[in-house]
Amino acid sequence: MDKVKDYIINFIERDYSLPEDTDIMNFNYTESGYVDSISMIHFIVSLEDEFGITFTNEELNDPAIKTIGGLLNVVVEKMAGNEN
Amino acid sequence: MRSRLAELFYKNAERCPDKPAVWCDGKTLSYRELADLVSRYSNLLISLGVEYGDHIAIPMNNSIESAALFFSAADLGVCVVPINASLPFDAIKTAIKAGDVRHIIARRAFFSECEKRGGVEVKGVSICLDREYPGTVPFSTIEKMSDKRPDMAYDVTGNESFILTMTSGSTEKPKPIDISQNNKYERAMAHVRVYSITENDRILAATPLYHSLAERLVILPLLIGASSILLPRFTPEIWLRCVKEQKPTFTIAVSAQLAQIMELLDKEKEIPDFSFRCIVSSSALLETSVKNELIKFLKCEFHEMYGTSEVSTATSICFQKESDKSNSVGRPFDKADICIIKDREGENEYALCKTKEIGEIAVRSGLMCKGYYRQPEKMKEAMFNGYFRTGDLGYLDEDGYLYYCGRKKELIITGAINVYPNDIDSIIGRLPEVEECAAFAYPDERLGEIVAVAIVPKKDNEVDIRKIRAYCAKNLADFQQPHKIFILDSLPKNSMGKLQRRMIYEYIVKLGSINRSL
Repeated sequence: MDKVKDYIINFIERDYSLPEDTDIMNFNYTESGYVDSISMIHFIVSLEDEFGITFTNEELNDPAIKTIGGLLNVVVEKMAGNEN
Repeated sequence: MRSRLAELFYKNAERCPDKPAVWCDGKTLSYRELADLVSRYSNLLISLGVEYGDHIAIPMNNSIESAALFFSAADLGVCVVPINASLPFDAIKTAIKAGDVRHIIARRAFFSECEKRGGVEVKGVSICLDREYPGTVPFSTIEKMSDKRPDMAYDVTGNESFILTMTSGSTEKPKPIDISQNNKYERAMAHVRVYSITENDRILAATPLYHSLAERLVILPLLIGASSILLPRFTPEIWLRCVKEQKPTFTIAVSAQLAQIMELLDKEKEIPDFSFRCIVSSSALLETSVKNELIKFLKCEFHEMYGTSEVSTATSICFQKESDKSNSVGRPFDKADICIIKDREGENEYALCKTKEIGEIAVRSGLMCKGYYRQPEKMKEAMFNGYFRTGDLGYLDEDGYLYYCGRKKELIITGAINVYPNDIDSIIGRLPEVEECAAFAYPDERLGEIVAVAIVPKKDNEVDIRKIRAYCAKNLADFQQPHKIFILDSLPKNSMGKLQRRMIYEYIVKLGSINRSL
């Protein structure tokens, strides 16, 4: 879980560090301009490659993945699904 | 002799030390504080062996540190090579080579990504901006540096390369636009004259700092003792919040941003009293209805401009004062001169077009860059009788107003960023199931144009759109990603079999494939 979380945060922090007092898990990285719609494609593909998962269209359309916590949950669940 | 840019900045710091110099992401630095940071930055670079004339690459974000680097580099006579961090690794390597880069300043994510792909080698020092990374010097070392402006044992004449701006994408050899300190100074002063900018202005830069527009908007205020407001990232919501809080009086925005801001303002219940006295729109002509709406909301002077990174601003028009010319991009800017030229049939020469005759826009200007770095032949090719051929099409009317008609070069301009279709074609064309493909400009209300791709699959092959998107995500920069993908049986070509890229959109409309895009 920590590895996935670090990976997500590292990607989001490519250009800017997150503010120090951020509630990381509830941080909406698209509304705050850290990842725009085009970078999002790159982000999703890199997560799929790194963790051997494939997002469904429903998951990609779910607003919950726009927060770090929401995205982390989806990735971790999918990885667990792969192991089972 | 010391750098004129640095001298002006340090004099302002002496004259008005407590005045806000720069704001970014919730933090303000006064002139005194920024001067201290610039001096520390210079001392850090000197201590790490950076020398006069060296080139430093930086995947540049919009930050106070980036603004400080410009003045530190100016003071040392060093050249900054801003890079778009979203470029694919090969393009970054090519840019570093074309820019003759000796040192790199970047964030950990950049170094880590480069290392995964075999690394980029530079002879000088690598500085890591956020925390630590093996083999690099942490930027936090700057805290140990003196805040005294370093003395120089050499002259900085202002003719040295100051900023190299990359013009091309991943597959074409980049043409680094070579801007000297004197270029930057002249450009800044021309804008001060034309838009009557004073030290009382608060100037907003809301585009990425690796583009010349934002560089100008950050450097200019610090040369004249005004205040710079640097938007860290652009979304219309962040822009509006910043404008409400920071009360800028002047900005040059790209038209795609203004269209998005307009959409947001339309939805806002309470429109604030804006502080702008003048807004300039650049990069594409805004619809008259959008201009009128913006003026209604912003209640300020509204200008449009036309220019290129090579010549800076070439024309300008004030919408309210010259409303009868509302489809024009204006008259020549400051001391620029414009002519319209056409190919002479059968000869490798050009002739001047008549009034209202469409041809290639050519500009002669004192704001012209030094050239393309180490590619003088490319610049020579682009010149005609002292005029720079822009690759754009337009005409002049009887009063000398310029009308922009499109591009001669095959370019897609999306949200003010140039995308070279060949870069995209060559990447997607590598996929074994693709017979041929062509990227093209697809009209878009928000961004002006977006990148679309038409793909013809090989016989008996199927193209998996998701696989194409994933492949593009790995091999193309963010701004090059296709928003729309069309699968076709063939591409429009002329009788000689040459691809008619400009016809693809019409061709798709005729085929009725628009609604079948993915």
